[in-house]
Amino acid sequence: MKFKNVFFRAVSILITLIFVFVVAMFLSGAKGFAVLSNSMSPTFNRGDVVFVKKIIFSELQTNDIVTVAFKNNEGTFTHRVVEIDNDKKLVYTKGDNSSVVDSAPSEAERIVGKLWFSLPLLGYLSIVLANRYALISLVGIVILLIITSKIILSIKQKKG
Amino acid sequence: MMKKNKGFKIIVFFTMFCLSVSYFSLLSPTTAYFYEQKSTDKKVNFDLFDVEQTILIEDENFDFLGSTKFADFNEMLFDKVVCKKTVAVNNVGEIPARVYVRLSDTIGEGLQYITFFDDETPEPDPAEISVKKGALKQKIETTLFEHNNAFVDGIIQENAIAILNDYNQTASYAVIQPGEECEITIVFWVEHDDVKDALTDTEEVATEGVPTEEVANVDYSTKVSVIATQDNDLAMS
Repeated sequence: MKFKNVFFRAVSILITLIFVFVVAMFLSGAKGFAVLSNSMSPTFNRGDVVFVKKIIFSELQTNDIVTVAFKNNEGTFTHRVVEIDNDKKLVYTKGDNSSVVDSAPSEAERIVGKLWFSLPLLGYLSIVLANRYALISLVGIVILLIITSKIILSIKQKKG
Repeated sequence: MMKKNKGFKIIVFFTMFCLSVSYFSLLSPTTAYFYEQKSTDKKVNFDLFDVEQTILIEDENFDFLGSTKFADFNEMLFDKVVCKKTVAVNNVGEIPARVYVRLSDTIGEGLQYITFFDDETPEPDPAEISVKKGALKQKIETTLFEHNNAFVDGIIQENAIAILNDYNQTASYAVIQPGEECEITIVFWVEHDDVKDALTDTEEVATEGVPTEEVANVDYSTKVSVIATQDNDLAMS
């Protein structure tokens, strides 16, 4: 019984901390992205989450890590700034795990934000649940757990 | 009262849990360009979410039987003086990739090229003396006419090369779906007008009608890059 109380208390604290973190991210204006590829390894890897904040172009510096929107706005990529062209307002980027600079520079207006910090592994939730079968399975498991616990509770009450 | 409190707490924590899981589940993905340079039996792979690979094929040797005149629609021996290089490209990733070719550091005057992304590049037979235009030249002319309908018989050399370059830079690519392979054929030739001063012992194939020995006194080398980009980045647009 003691162990059960300690366990539930620990879980409650953990959930609270995570929830407070999520609220803090909302209030800070930071955007989170799940990393899908290893082109910035070892700085961060597939499955990590990166949080970026908006930045004014003039404040950008070489070696900053930025998230940039693709030209047609269907997705983003996150790479390190290696060169800034202040006249044309362009940034040249490169992945830490790449040996060459990205072939095309990015315009200032396509920069979503500068890296604030990253967290390991939390991005897998998004990666896995992007698969609709995984999402359906997860919802199914949750429903099954709820039904099972209700049945067990009802049996206990009848016995009691 | 205690039970009600406990029930309330469970609901609160469950809600917080669901909101937190939803937040992380709904994070947008960020892919990335990934560059890798390798030349392994000319087989190019690009991996999961790796959207761009630049592969250098260096120091290619060219064996031209002669020079030619691309803009001449009546030239019958074009197919016999070209040099073809092939590269197999394989998309082992999970997103469609747009693949195209670029040349750089070219040494040698008059080197021109066109790229095909299908298995239907006609194979010329150097031994055969043809009395009609070869299938490869036909294919090139049809392709360029479809790209720009100013490419017709009678076009001047300068305009023909301009249309060819425009095609290579803006329209010559293939979209390879995940799990698919594509064989890229790059057809090279040498423009006679650009090398006629350097040629001493060779003859202009187009007018003489007989293949001669290699284009003498002109060395050719180039770096061929096969570039794959994420298709929705609209590379070359």
